[in-house]
Amino acid sequence: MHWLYLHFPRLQLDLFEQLHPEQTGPTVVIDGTNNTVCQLSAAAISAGIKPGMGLAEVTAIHAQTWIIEYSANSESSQLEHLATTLYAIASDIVCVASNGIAINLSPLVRYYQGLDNFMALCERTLTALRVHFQFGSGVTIEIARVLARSCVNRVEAEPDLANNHLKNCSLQATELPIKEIEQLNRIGIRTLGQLIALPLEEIGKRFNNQIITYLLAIKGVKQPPYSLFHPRKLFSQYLELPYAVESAPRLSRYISVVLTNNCAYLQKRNLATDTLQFELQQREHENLEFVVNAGAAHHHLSEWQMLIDLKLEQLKLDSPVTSLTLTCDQLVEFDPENLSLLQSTYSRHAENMLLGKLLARLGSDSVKTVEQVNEHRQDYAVQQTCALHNAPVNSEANGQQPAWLMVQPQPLTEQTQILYGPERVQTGWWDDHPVKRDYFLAVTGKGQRLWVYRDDQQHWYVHGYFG
Amino acid sequence: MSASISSLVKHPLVFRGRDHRHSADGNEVRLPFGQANLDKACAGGVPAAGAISIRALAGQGELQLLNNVLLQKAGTQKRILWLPNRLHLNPNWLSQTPYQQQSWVVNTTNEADALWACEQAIRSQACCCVVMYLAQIEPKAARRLQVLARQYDCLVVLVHPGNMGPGALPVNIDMALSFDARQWFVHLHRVSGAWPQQHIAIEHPLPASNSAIVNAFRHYSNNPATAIHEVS
Repeated sequence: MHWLYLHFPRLQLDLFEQLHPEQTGPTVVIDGTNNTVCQLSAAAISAGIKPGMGLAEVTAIHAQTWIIEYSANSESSQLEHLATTLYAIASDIVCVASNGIAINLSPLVRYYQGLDNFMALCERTLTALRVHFQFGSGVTIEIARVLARSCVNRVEAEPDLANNHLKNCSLQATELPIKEIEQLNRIGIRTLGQLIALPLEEIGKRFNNQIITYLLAIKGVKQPPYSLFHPRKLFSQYLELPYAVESAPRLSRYISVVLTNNCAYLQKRNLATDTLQFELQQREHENLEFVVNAGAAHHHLSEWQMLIDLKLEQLKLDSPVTSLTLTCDQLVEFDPENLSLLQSTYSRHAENMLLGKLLARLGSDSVKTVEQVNEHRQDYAVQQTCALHNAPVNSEANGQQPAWLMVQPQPLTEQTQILYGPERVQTGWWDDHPVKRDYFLAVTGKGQRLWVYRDDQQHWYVHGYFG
Repeated sequence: MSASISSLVKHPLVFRGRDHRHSADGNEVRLPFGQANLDKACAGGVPAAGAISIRALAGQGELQLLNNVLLQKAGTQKRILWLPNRLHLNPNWLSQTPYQQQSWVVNTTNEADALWACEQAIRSQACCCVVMYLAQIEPKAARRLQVLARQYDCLVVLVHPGNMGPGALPVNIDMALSFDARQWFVHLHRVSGAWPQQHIAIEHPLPASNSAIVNAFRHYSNNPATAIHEVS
């Protein structure tokens, strides 16, 4: 086996720099468990800030330092996204901890006709994702991991050559617990070469089995078992916001990051969707969920972004949002319509775009097609207008119908002249809403054509207007 | 002289309509109402692209008057968007029209949303016609719709139920429907390509009447050979 290990030392900071490219001042990520710096930007290094410094020390060195709290969830989500992207160029991938990816190089050497070809492609892919990374290689994941954390940044054609680099690596680059590293330092063992030179029997007398297992992996004797990464069959990404956002439209720039990943995911798999589900984690209230619908399934970033922006304009937040999740699980195979070159006046695409905009801003039930309602009681017909995409061809005529209906019939109060009728409607005796009415067309002195009826109590009502 | 006119035309507050849709002989395409007097007063009918405004009381039959125009626009196979704006369009009525399959009814809760939806429909180029009901519209908003509708080849029908206020809107045709005793009239406050006119008499029949029955009774009741019952 020959493994490549990619170590991402500042994933959360990389994401922050993508979200806020305008932020050029010192930025650090603070580990909340011990309030020390765990990731820092180039500007922070220039300012004299070092990893492991406390929060007070950081602010004393540079008062304007931008501080972000470390989030393991955010890094895990980003690592999964990286692994999903790398899955397009490599098959055997293992996600290690929250900031490392191991790739089995053995099958790739033959596929890419050389390691250099694959490494060039891998580096280009990761550079495009704008993440900082270090790498190393070895016969086990543990060897490659130590070399990557030591910034070797070399892939040896022969895995055994990596052992030369490994001997010079510090114990700090290993996964040994701090307590054991201090113990070894006290007896003068500071590099991995010194540790490997010790007989395992002697180490076994002083340290537990986990250390022995780890050392066996470091020596390349036995690789501990790892489960291979398999991308999800649906897209879901979590994003921790650098600070709480109070206004919904300001979420747009953060949503665009996960949306870009979503559209890339769909395009690579020739998939499309007409529904995106968002979940906003609010600081002081329950999670806010909303759905954005498009007129037709597609995977175009700019069009989705426009629909989401329209939706965000209408959205009211109960309290500031700290993180968000985009889920896309209603996937269909992308089937673009073949449009005629000469038919420039009409496009189904334009129609779908319009529909998507209307649904996004006015609500998912705002646009209706029309269908003849199989109901003589027009009071119910108003509420039974069919939903979109379900309009069959109209059937038989249903008497003289006005264009406009009143939701609640109003008593007829003005003087009218009856010019047509009656049309008797007597129905609903089988349910709890029996109706017995005589409908007429009546005209007022101003020429208004009213649809009026007389009920069985001989009361007169206006039910609609002829448009 | 030309320089001063040019500077005037470039002023941002001066609107200069551009001739856009013309027939092969160079004239603007117009869609007739099917009413001889009205079509003559409108220089042939409604311009195929642009906005028109109709002021009529609820139930005065504005859609019946426009039926011929809508049928012609529906021939393009594009969508017809209905923006009833809090009114309730009868699905059974619309399902009996020839343009049922092309129609979308968009429910809005306020006039700002209705105007936004109208503008999006025009810009999308997916709609041949937008029928919007508004209590009132600002001249600035009407002019915006007029310019957009001409640019994107769409007919926008603005209906103002009950609004009989003075002042013409900057649209292709601004008209009012009125009834006087037994005659229907159209008052043209503004027409592109013709002069405004008042009291244009039109035929505006009822969608249904009992006249056939009444006439039949009158005819046959006076004939002793066919009279079955005595009609007083």
